[in-house]
Amino acid sequence: MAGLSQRLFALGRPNLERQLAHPTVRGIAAGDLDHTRFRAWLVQDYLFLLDYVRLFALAAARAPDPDTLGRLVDLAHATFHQELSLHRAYAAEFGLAEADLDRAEKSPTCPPTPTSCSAPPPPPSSPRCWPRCCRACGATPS
Amino acid sequence: MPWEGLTALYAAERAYLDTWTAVAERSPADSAYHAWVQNWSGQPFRAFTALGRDLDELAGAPSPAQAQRLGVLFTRAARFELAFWEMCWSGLAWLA
Repeated sequence: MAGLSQRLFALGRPNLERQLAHPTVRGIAAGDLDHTRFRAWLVQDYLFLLDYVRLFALAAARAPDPDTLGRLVDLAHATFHQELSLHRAYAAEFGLAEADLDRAEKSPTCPPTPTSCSAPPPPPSSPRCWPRCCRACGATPS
Repeated sequence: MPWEGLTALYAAERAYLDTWTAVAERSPADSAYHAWVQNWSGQPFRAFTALGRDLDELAGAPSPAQAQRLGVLFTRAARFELAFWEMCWSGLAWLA
């Protein structure tokens, strides 16, 4: 039987196909994604990576052994010093200064996905969100 | 289970690498995004997917119930990857 990671990859295959078919991904691949959308992606990815560094640091603090501790610290370090530097450098090519990145805000977050499809609808003041559905059947855009 | 967190990390990194690798195969050399695409599909980034090997070592042979639980976690994490692209395309709020 295939290893666990292989089986998980196979499970994620339909999702990968949806990503590859997504207009953002297709636009980056073809080189014709408009720069406004790419900048929006870059900014959000930058903000995501800052939190990713925090995640690695938190995980490192709880590492069960020295080897794992070292690897998680390395991931935090590489993400902070290499990936984020690359983002800043590339953002500059698209007209975004470091100050623009640092004062950017994360996209609003949807109310939590309900655990039942019969949950009441979100209040009208909510940000524009994904189709409301329960976790069991998954919330994905049409 | 410590491998639950590792499963989520593996889902995120795997989706990212597989997507960028596929994009790199199609990216024209004169594209404004070409340098960026080459970066994410490059060899150093592949180190992150060593997470898959870690997961196999750590989880060993999980029970059917554990494997199912990890499958649910992996699929949920992978959906967040798709949600991220959509958020930036259409301005949909972040999936929670």
